[in-house]
Amino acid sequence: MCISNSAKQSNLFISDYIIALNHSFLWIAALSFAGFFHVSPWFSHKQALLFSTLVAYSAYLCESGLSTWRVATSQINYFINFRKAALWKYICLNVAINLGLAILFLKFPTWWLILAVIFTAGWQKYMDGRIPPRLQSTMILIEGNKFISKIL
Amino acid sequence: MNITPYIFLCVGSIFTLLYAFITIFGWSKTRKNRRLFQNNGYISELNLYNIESGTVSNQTYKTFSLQANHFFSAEGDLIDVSKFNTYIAEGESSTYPSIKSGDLILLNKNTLEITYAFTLPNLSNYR
Repeated sequence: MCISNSAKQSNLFISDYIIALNHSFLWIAALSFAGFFHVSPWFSHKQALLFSTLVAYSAYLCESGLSTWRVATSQINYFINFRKAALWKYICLNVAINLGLAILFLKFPTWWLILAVIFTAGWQKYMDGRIPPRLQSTMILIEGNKFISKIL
Repeated sequence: MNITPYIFLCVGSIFTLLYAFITIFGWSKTRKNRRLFQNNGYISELNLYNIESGTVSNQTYKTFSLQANHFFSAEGDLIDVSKFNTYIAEGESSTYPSIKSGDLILLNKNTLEITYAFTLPNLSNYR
């Protein structure tokens, strides 16, 4: 088989199976940690609530990475500008706000703070869904036409 | 002693490590595959051999065989002959269609043989 086709098949295998498997591992780990915080005697009820929410939030963050990875594997014949996806700064802002709210909740455990933490997780999940279309908008086809566009 | 929290902690830690391991090595493999696939389209060296020249109707010609140092990313990749025009002669070729310096040639990705040649004005037909 041609080297190029071998590389393409390898990436498709990663896209179809490995990322799906890794996704399942991610959620097994996240739910196990959430369970740990609830059954452990070392955490109060409110701490367990906050930390299990943060575990779910961290899993959403990792899912953003998996979304990016899936686009990189499945769109092998495109140049993709990952920096110009323009979402990373919003994700960093989201993490900072989430951590700020979490620290505030530890000091002042009120229901609206934990609700705000949950909303930042929702915001993160929304950005996770926006990653593939944003990456697709930066794609440049290279196969076949690459050499033409290079010399013309 | 209640070991339930430790079981949850162990399972969580093991799967976190698995996730991290697969992500790091999988991403590395993905990038390697992307580089491999995308760079193979570029031809950095093209060897011509079995070159023979002659004259027909006052036009010089050369016949040749081609060998590239890379596979092509897809059948139908185009090579700018002008980049390798040292051995390309103007005029009719007895083996291949008429190829002039600056023409584009279409190669079979497996055999690396010329399947078609055309000049730049005809490029729109290909597209």
